[in-house]
Amino acid sequence: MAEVLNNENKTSENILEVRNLRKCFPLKKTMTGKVTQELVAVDDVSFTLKAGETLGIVGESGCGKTTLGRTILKLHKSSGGKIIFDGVDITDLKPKQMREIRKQMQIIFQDPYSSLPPRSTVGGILSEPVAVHNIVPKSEVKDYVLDLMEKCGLRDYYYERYPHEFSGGQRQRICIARALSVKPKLVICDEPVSALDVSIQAQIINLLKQLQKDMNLTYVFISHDLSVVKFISDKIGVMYLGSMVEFGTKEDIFANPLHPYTQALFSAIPQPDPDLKMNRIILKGDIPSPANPPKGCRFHTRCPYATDKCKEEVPEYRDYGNGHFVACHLLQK
Amino acid sequence: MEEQTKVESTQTNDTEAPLDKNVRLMSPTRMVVRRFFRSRLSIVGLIMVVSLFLFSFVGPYFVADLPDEVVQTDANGNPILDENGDPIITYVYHDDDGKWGEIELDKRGMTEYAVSETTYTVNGVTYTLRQTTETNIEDNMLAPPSGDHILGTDNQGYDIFVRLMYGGRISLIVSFLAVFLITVLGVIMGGIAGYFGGFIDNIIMRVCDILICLPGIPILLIISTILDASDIDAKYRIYLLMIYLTFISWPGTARLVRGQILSLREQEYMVAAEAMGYSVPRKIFKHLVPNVMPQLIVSMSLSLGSMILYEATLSYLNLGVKAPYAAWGTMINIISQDQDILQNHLNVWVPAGICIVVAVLGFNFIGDGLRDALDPKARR
Amino acid sequence: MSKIKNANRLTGKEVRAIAKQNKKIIRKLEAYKNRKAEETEYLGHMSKPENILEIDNLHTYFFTEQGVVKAVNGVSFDIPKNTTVGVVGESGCGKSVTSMSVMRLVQGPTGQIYSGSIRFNAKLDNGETKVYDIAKMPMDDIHKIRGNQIAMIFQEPMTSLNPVFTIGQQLDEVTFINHPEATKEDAKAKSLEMLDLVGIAMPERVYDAYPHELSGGMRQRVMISMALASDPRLIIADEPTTALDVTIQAQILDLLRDLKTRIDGSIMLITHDLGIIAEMADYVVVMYAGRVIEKGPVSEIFHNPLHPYTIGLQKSKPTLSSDSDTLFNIPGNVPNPVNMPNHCYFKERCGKCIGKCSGEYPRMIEVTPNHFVACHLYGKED
Repeated sequence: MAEVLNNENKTSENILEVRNLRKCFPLKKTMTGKVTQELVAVDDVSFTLKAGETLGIVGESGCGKTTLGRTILKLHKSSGGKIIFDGVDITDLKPKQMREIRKQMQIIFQDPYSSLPPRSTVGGILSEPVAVHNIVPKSEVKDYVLDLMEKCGLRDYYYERYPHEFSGGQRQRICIARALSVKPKLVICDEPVSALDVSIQAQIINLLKQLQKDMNLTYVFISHDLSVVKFISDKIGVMYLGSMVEFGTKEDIFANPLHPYTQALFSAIPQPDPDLKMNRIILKGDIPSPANPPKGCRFHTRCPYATDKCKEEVPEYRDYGNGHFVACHLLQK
Repeated sequence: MEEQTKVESTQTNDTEAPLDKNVRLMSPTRMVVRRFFRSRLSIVGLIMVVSLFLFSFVGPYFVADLPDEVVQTDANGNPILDENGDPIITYVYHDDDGKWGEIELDKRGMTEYAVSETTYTVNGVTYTLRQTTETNIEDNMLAPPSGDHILGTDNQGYDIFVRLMYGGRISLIVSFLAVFLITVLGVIMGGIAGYFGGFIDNIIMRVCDILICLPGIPILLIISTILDASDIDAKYRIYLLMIYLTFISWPGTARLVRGQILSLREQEYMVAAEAMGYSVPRKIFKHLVPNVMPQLIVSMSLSLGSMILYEATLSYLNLGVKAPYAAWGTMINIISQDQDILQNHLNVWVPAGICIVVAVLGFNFIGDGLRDALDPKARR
Repeated sequence: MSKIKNANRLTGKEVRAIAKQNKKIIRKLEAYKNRKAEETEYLGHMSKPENILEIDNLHTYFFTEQGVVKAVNGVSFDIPKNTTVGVVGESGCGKSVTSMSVMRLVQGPTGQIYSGSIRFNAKLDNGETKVYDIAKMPMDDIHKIRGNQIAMIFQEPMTSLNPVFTIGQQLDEVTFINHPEATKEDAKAKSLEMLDLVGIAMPERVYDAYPHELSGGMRQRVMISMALASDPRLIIADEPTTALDVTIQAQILDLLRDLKTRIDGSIMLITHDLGIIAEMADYVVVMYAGRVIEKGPVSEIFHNPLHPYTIGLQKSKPTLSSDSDTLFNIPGNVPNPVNMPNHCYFKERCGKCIGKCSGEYPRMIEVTPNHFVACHLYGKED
């Protein structure tokens, strides 16, 4: 264990570095177990993240954003590339070694209904990780949990209640408390507010921001909603069919979206103003199946500006200044 | 910073408190109990099963006095030992007439022994000699129902009513034991197969397939013949057979558990448990198995019924409990010995049949009631 | 700190009392629902002739083991001809139950329409119009309006189509139900026309496809075409785009807007997304905890919201244009609908409470023409 921790020097301030990460799921196998067809869920994704920052990852269903989050946590085994967490290369760690690192990286899920075990009380759900990882001495576990519940806006008498007795927002608070109970450094938030009501969404986002300040957390915030991501992120990555099409600081992405897909995403969001008649870019057709992605630039089937070159060549993922990466042929002229 | 959080969260709390206070929910246990008792059938089932239990386990204390265990002692109070060095124990049955009768456990009515006691002293040691004389053996065979024998006696003079009680004990104990073993084995195998999947899953499931293919009754016949030949005490026969039943029945439970675990494994709370870095046994037995419990309880109560049927079948085929021990199946088996009983002495075999039907129906009603009560889809 | 208050449970006695009461009421309502009745018994009059649907003081309750849930508690609003009325609110506010009540799809025996009326201006095949009170119709007569006069589009396009039949078979069936004399060819022609209407590029191919072969957006288009196939006077769209991706949602909204101009009917659009309401609706109804708290024309609601909840809801939605660092949020949770207090339901979460708010529930007041609000802040001084 100690060797693994020491063989990479902790010089960089980056808490998370992802290099050319790839994740494939086998679709068809021969009798001998050889994979003949595979689904590339995450294709060649790279980024770095400093401690205390928030990376927002935006994309539609099937774009691989959830798979990316889970592969970073090594809940899926990666098929290529490297994940360096806090100076340690965790890509090839064995499950036993990984178990120690787990408490430093946590996840919050989209669905607060299925992510809590139905037959444990809130107290049980929150005490278990604390006890398993020996976060505090046994005698203090309960006080620690009650303190944590208060921080997350849960009343102390919820301790004896079961998850099904709560509304979605309260459940999501329980999930957040559970993730934070082991004092992690990195939290992957996988669409944490998508299943919640608007007024509750705002509460949860504010809670997450507050906790980030207090506990110096780093977030990877996955969402399909650009306007939510805007409030919490420092950097934003836009994904389409498994690959990152645009990446940059929040200011760059919002002030100057370069990729046509990012532009379409911006204009697709309905705005709560009846007089604002936007000139909307409506993309044609459906998202292609990730099992059978189009050749060349993956977006060319729906792109309003697609040229012949887009149908053949995969565009390069290139820095257009200030760490604003885009993968599009239109910009390379 | 710390303080700021606290201020904010208390605000949230205080505002939601008043509305929260007037909301009172049912506790989960109470909800299950309510749902269970809402159905009349499950109440009927519960009454049936509970009354059978009382009948079998408490009944004998009222109807037939249990025999006293008497250890024969010498004048100094030391037990008299037999040739093996064990104390000599006699069972003394106290009859209503005030006569002492030393009879077998449930043989009331067949034999009544008169006991006479003599005390004599040899070399300063006092011995108590008890002598018995047999009376009335033949007269009580196939007696009609009467005040003495509520349901009459069978072709060997056993009191049927008392025998039903003792038979119930064996039938119920044996089926509970078998179901318990099946569940333990099924949960372990199904849990391992479902959690690990892949190669291990494949092996366990193929073993299940093979076991399910085995023809149960013919193999039972063979085993029973072997048991007969190997001269095993009639008392233990039935337990050996139950172990065999467990062996061929666990695949059903294992499949149920495996199927449930396969779907539960994909739930996000299991991914959360993985992300927490819990150990594998903790994930299986603390997170997965408790969530299979509802289905397991239902399947257990349903298979209790089928185990009683199995036991009755075995005893009827003369494979299970053998005389002098009673079981409901054994009591019906009497009709195969004598055509006359089938036609003219309904009191000998019909009550045992009724007991079996009541037990199986009762367990099935309870099973159905539990399924409705524990169904997570019906939950709020 | 470590002492924990009682988890606040119902006692066995209370549970039994609730169950006894529920049983009595449910039996009565079920008998009313399943009665045989002459048509005259449920004919009514519209209060305004231009309305196609008038919901008047509707109460739909769920009689659960924990107590009576007043999911819809005195809701009233109108849907005029050829308009889109948006019903907006958070989960549990009763917006879906309202639409289910209109369709009489509330799941019995626990869910029952308790009182109120739903008047619908039905246009019969022979051209004459009749006003039915849907809330009073016996279940046997519901087929007169459900499916042909009023059609519904559901949230989940994955599960609302039957997976064992082709799209064509399911579409033809709608035609056969409405026109039993139609031949197979007529039905197919009509189905293809419908698929074409909802912007499906290759109607023939989709006609022969099974639901699982289509994407979510395509399925939702098929659902819309099915709803349109019977030429309904009212389409109820219950969160029609919630399950879809943003770019696909934009397509479907575009389609619905386009259809509105082409068909002769009204749309009741139920959603939690204020953005969709702003784009689609002419008239907005805001619901909270089973009651309508504000209703009015769309521009009024968005430019001049009155109820603190409506204001809070608009402020707490993150938008692309806003620049502030933290989001405004309404504190607290949507209240649990059992044992509601007697005062304004929003009082505990409201930042503008006045003394009157502890009093009885505020009445609806018309502040500007056609803009109603239920809040003490705007009451007349008395």
